[in-house]
Amino acid sequence: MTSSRVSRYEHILDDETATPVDGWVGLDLSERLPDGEGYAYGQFAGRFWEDLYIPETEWQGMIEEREQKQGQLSDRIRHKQLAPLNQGNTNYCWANAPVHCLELVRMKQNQPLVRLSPASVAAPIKHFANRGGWGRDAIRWLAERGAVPVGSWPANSREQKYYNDSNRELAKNYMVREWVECQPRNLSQMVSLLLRGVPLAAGYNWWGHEVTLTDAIWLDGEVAIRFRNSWGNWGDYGFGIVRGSKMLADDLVGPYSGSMT
Amino acid sequence: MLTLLLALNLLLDEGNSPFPMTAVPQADPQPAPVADEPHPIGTVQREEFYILQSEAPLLVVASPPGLVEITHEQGPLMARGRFAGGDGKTETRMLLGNHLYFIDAVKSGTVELIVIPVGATEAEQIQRQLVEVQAGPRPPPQPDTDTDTDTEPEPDGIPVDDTGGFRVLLLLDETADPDTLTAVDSLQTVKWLDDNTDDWRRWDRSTAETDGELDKEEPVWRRIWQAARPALPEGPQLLIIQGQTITVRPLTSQVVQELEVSR
Repeated sequence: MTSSRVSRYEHILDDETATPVDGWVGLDLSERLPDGEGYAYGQFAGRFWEDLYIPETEWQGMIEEREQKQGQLSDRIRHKQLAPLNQGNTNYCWANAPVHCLELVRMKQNQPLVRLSPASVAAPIKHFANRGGWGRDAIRWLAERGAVPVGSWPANSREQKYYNDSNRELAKNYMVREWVECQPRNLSQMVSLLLRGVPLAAGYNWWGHEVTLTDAIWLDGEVAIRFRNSWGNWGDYGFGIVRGSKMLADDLVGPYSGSMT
Repeated sequence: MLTLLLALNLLLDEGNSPFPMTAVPQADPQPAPVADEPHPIGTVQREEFYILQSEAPLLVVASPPGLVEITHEQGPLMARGRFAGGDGKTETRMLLGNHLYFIDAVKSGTVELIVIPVGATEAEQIQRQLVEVQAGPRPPPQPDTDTDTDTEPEPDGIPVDDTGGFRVLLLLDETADPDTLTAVDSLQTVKWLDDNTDDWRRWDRSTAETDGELDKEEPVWRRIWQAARPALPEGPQLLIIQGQTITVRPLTSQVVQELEVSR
C-alpha cells in the first residue's frame, strides 16, 4: 500500500499549513481540568482501556483492509449521503462535533437518520449566549438530556422559545449513554478507536476548534486522520485531512453507543 | 494422540465433495449396488479425524454452533490416527487437499455442516451435510436395539412471536476483534443488509442489556430481544430472525457469507 486515496478537494492540514480562517470556531478548554493521567471527563465518559489498543504495527494493514472493504466511516457517510453540519455564525463547534458523533452512531446502528440540532445542546448550556465551550459540556448534556431534531429546533438557533417541555421530551430519544475518553495528544488511543469505527469529537488548541474525526488513513508512509468539519461543504463534503503534530488532539472523546430509538 | 506431518503436494480433482466419504472396493468387477455408492460420513466422533478437503478455500459453518470446532489447516498433510469412516484402527493417511478443515466433536447432538466456496455467487455451490456428533468416548459396539439415545437434540432456533419478515441483529461488545468490526462496518455488509432484510440493527450489547434502553425501540425489536436474551452466548453474536424463529451464531468476519447461507 502506498497512500490512502485523498480527494483533491480535501484540505490537508499539516505542520506547514496555516490555520484555516474561513469559518467560526469556539473551542474553549479553559475549564478542562485534567487529572494526573490527562483525563478530564470524570463520570461522563469511561477512560480508554487497554483492550481497545491496536498495535501500531497493525495500523497500515488495517487501514488498507478497511479501505478495500469500504469500511471507513467516511464511506458510510457518503453512502448514506449524510451532509456535513454547518455551525454558521455560532461558536458551537464544541457541540457540533459531539452531536455529529451521535448522528454517526445512530447511522451505524441503522436507526432512522434524524438530523439533530447542535444549538439545542449548546444554547441552553450557555444560557442562549453565543459562547465557546468544550466537549464535556456537550456530552454531559447528551448523556442526560439528549439533542432535539432540527425539525423542532433549527440547527443554529439560540431562541429560548425552543427550550420547551415538548422539545425536552423529544430530546430524550436522542441521547448517548456510553462515551470513551482518550488522553490528550495520545495518537495510539486515537487511531485505535478510529480503526474500531468509533467517531471522535476532537478539540484542537492550535485551531481553537472542535471537529469530528472519522477515519485513520495512511499518507506518505505515516498515519494521518480524516476529519469532518462543521462548516457546511468545506473541503470535500465537509472532509479534510490532518496530519503531523497538528493531528494530536488536546481533547478527545467518542460515543460507544447511542439510545435505541 | 495424533501426528500431522507435512507431505507431498498432490492435487484433488476440482468439483469433488469436500466431505469424507465411505470407502468402496477399488477393483470390484461387479456393478456396485446403490447402497454401496460412496456417500458422506454422517458421524463425527471424539478421538477420530473428520476432515473436509478442498483445493479451493472454503467457508465451513456449523449450525447450530457449539457442537463442533472447525480448524483450518493448509494441506497436503499426513495424518496418523483414527478416521471417520475407517475401520476403527489407527492408520496413516495422506490428506491431499490444499485446504483441510478438521471437524472436532465438542458436544453431542446433530449439526449441519454448511460448506461455501469462498467467492461463491450461486446457491448451488453451497453444500450441506447433517452429521451426528458423539462427543463422549467412542462407544463400545451395541447390539441392535430400537431404544433412542439419551442425547437431547439441540434446538435449531429460538421461538419468537411472529416478526413478519427477515431481520438481522448484529450484537457487538468490546471483545469484538478488529477483523469482525471491519467486516461489519464494510459497505458490502451494509448494502447486503439494506437490500435483503426487512430491517436490521447493530447494537452495543452492554447498552442493550441496560434496563430501559430499549423502551423506545420499535416493538418488534423489543420482542426479539426479550426472546433471545436469555439464550445468548457471551461475545459478539449474529441474530437472524425469520418469522417466528431466531437463529444465533457467533458474529465473525464472515458475516455476509453467514447471512447468505441463512437467507
